[in-house]
Amino acid sequence: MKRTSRALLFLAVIAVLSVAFIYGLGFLRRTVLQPKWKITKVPEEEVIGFVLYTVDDQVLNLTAQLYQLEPEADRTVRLEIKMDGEWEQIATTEVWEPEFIAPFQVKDWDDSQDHEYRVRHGEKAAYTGLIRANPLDKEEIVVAAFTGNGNSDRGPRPDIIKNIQRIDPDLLFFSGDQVYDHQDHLVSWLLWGRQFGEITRDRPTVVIPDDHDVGNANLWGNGGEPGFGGYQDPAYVRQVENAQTSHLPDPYDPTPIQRGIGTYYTSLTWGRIGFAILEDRKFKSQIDILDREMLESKGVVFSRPDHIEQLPDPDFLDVPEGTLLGERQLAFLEEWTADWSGQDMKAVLSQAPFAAVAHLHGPSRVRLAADLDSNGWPQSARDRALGKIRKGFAIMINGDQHLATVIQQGVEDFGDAGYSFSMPSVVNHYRRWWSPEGTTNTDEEGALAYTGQYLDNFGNKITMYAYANPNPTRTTYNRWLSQGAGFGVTRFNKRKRTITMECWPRGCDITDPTCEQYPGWPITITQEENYGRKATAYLPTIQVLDADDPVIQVVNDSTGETIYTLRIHGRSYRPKVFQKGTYTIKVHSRENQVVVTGVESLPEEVRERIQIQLKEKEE
Amino acid sequence: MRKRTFTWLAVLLIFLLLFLVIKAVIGQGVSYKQAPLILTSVSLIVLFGLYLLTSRYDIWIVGPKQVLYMGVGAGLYMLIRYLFTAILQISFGKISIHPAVCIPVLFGFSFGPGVGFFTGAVGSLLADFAIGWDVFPIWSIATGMTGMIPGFMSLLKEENIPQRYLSTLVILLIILSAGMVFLHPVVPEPWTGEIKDYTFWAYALLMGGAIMIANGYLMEQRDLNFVSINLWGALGIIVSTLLTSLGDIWLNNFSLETALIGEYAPYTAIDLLNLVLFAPLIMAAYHAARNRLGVRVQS
Repeated sequence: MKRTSRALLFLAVIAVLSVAFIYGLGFLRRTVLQPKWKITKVPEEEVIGFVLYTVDDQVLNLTAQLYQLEPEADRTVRLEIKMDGEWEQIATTEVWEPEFIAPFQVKDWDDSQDHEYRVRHGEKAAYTGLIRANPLDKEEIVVAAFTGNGNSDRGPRPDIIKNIQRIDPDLLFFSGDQVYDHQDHLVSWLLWGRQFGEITRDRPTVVIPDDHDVGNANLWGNGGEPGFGGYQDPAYVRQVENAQTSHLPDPYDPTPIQRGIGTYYTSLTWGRIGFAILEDRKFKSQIDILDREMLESKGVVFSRPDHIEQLPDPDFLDVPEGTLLGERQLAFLEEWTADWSGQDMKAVLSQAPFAAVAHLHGPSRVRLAADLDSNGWPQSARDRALGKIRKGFAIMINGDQHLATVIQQGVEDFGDAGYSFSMPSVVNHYRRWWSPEGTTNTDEEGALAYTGQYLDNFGNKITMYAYANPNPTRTTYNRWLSQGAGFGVTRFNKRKRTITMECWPRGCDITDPTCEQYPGWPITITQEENYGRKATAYLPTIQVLDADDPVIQVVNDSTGETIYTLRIHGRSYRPKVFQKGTYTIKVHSRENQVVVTGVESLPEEVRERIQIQLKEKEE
Repeated sequence: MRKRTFTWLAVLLIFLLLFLVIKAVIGQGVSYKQAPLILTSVSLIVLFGLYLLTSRYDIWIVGPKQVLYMGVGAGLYMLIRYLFTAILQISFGKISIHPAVCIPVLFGFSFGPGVGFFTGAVGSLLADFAIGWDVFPIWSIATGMTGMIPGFMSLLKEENIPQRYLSTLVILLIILSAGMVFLHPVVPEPWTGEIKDYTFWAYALLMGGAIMIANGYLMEQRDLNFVSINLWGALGIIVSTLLTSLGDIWLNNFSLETALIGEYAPYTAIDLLNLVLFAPLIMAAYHAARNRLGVRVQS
């Protein structure tokens, strides 16, 4: 008895010690192992934290992020560029508070050459960098993209910085969830700047905030209307959007949404690649648009308001009048897809893919029948958005899901819309997996299982090409692989009109041959695959006699709708159409345009030719 | 007998308590999904059943010394795994070096199944937590079983069952495992979905088996314990990895082929190779320490 009592006592002591050890280790991880990160005040000479900028249409938008200024400190910030070896002041601006940002806009910017810049505050603080020349003649434009900078690791990102410097991209894109601290944006935004400032100081950068940035776990903005999952604090949202997006080109339509929340959706042309920068949460319908009681009576089982465990029919969730991008952004896309000024190829930058690409969610790998946070919902609104985007043959680049994927979207049929490349998270604290039920479509060694055509959880048609599932095995001694963490690179080859997507893991040197991309990558597609819809008829071949790479626009005469617009490569192109009828073909180069009306569609085997002279018209 | 039962239940309860504490500390709720709950419960019931079947043997005696060994074993496992997993991260090709697998085997073999289970299960929980991963009850229970099974070693002696039966069983299991991979080598990787050729792991399994047999011949004259440790440890690894892999069919939707070829075969091969390579070294170190400190071993 005594022996047993002593053994049990010892066991209890071990249990207590283990509990104390676990809590102690947890405390150590939170304190000693995490660097001091809440830094808002620094010495006067270091007060400029980092800089973000873009250049579009000869307009420089540059925002300097400052640490908190003392009340008595000067609020003026100066921008200088080096000319003939001397610093010359070209602009001044006042600091915005509480963001502590200094946004500059310089018009008539000479983007034909590099400019060294210096941002100055007071007498001591100076921050230098490089405004790059517009890479118009560069054959390949490289975009490096990131998402989900989780706060479970608040340390520096040296592996990413070094690899990005090796790649030397022309543009950086941060698709959202730059910060996860929902209540104090300034402090975590300054940390983000310390983590990524070394790569943003020397190249244009697009940043768009996602749900966590604006203080929401998930976000259904619904035009600013209050409600479940809507914006919580408009003042906080304005602060975040000012800090993260004031360096973007001016908004396409700056009219505020409800509660005075601004907009930033816009376009950017850089290196002859056109980028539409979208806000795919701001106008999205809130989930109370669904009649939950009615759905439950049909057998839909909710595990929480936005998570559905059982869904007898995905169509139950579709709300035809629901919105995803909203009418304003759809109008913007209609115009943007038709405008190829200074552009050879196009890309849409947004927060999340327009499909539900994850089946298993979170540490317990819960299989959801549907996640309403995904942009696969509302289905009809998703289809309307993709219907617009494909008219510009634009690839979509996004993130949010903590799961890197390449899919081709389908609207009416599989593969009839564009490709979508979702980034892996930089730090993935909440893992998701692509894991459809059923058997794999392939047994080819080296391929990925479970690729090919699938209906996502909302019944949307998607074709999966690659996914980077987390790999939490005990024998894979790489925490980044176990998270499926990394970053994406998209290469636009303007001569070949191809787009190559690369998905790199973190923690290795990408120039080392042993550092491999996630299985399934790289993937190369042609520009035209972004409108993969099958032709039902063709128009005569357009042959432009006197201009290279003109823009061709096809308009349906019976509906007046622009079917698509494309800058072709070369001088000859045979437009495809999707129903028989008559069409108007508009062909234009930089200044001149020829319009051919009443063009009858032809079967594929019947070949005719229309010759067009653009310069002759001018003469 | 009641005291032993009470003590063994206390061991299992402490494991569960620590699991819940770690989940709370890392800020994750416990999954109450059917599959993990049922699998964890069934595993614990099986463990208790194993105890009931063998409770009459002295291997289940848990006194203050055994409790001390449990604490030392779990701590040692955590430290060695943390060292090799989070810091050193050494691997030779596809074979990662993690000698921690030997710790529950040696503690179970030397101090009984209760100590072996606690060393593996709690050590695995603590190591996963320290490294910064999520904790997985089935994996921890399986690591506990890797330590528990060698604790049954003395049963063979007491029941006068020749060790060659065990040798034959283990060698057959290894050959079967390798044969299974040779027959169907190309399957999707469990987590990433990449379709891979797993033939390498069949050779690795055979290599592990061959080193185990060679160890037996080489060490037989010197210390029979070496041979037994290899055999019992290999059996523990095979059984526990099979448990987790088959469990993943239900838990993680793996196909049978992915569970057996993509998960069971590589993990078993890696653990087996680490066991047969490092157990003699650790045993030698242990003997040296024991001689110096005068510690007595149950076996």
